[in-house]
Amino acid sequence: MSVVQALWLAVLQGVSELFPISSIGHTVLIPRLIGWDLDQQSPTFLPFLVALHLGTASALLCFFWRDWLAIVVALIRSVARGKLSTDPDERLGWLLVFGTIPTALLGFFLESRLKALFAAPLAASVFLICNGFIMFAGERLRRRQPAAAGQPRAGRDEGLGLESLTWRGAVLIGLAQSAALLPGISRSGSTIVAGLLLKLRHEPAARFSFLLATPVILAAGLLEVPSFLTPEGRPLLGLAIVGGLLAGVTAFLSVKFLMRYFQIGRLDPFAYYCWAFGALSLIVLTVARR
Amino acid sequence: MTRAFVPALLAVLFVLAAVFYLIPGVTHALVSDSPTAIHVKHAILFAGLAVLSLVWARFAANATR
Repeated sequence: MSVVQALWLAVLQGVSELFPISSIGHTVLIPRLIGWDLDQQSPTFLPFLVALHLGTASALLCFFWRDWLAIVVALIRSVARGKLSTDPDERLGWLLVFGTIPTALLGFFLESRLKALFAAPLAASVFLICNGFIMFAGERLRRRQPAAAGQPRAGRDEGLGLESLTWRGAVLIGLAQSAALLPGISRSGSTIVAGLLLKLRHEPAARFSFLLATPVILAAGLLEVPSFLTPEGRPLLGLAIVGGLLAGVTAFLSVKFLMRYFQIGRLDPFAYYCWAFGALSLIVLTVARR
Repeated sequence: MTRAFVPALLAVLFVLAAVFYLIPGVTHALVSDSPTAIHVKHAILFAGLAVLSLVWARFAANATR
C-alpha cells in the first residue's frame, strides 16, 4: 500500500463511516473500481484499519465530549445508588447500553462470517443499492406515520426528541445497527431510519445513532490494538498513525456537518447517491468480469 | 425468589463462560479461528456481560426492598 493509497483510504473511512453511505461498502468498492490491488484481509492491513477506526471513534468522542462526560458521570452515580432516577443523561446512558448489547453480540459472533460471505465488490454494490431503498423507504414511512397523541404530526420534520425513546426502541435501533455488518448497509443510515420509524426527529435520531456508534467503533478498534505489536503490523505502523489522524479529522468534520444537516435535512439525497453509486459499481464490475 | 436471582445467575454463567474461553486445549464454540486456542476477546465480551448482569442484579435487589 502506497502513501497516497493510505491517505485516500483514511479520508474515505472518515467520511463514509459517519455519512449514511456505508464505509465497508466504499472501502470494498472504490479500491476495486480504480484498480488498486489491496488485500484488505491481510495481517499487514489490519493495524491500518484499526488505526482508522480509532481515529473515527476519537473524533466522535471529541465532538460529543460534553454528552459523554455527563452520561458517564450519570451512569456511575446510577450504579453507585443502585436505583434509576429521572436524570435525562442517566436515562440516555442506559438507553445506549441497551442499544449496544445486540450490536456487540451480533457483531462479535457474525462479523467475520458475514464478511467472508459478502465482502465481495458485487455483493457490496447490491447491498449499497438496498441501503438506498432502506433510507428512501424509511423517509416515506416516517412521513406517513400518524402523530402520537398530543404530539405534532410526524411528517415534515416534526416528531419526538430522545426523551421519548424507550428501552425497547433503543434495542430496536441497536438491532438495526447490526444490519451494517453487511458490506454496503450503512450503520448510521440504518440506525437513523430506525429512529425515524420510532417517530424521532432527524436530529435526535442522528445524535443517538452517532452516540451509539462510538462504543462499538472504539471497542472494535481497542480489541485489535495488539495487532500493532505483531511483526506483520510493524511495517505499516507509521502510515497507520497518520491514517488514523487523517480519518479522525475527516470524521470530526463529517459529524459536524451531519449534525447541522439533520436539523433540516433528510436521508433522501443519500438514498439517491447510494442508488447511483451502487448501480454504477454494479455495471462497471459486471462489464469488467466479461 | 427475589428479582435479583436471575441476573445474579446470569452473572455467574457469564463469568464461567469468560473463564472457559481462556482455557487452551478445549473446543470453544462460536469462534472463527482455531477452536482450541485461547480467545481473549470472547472472554472480555462475557466478562462485560457479567458486569452488566451484576449491575442489573443490584438494581433488582434495590427494587425488591
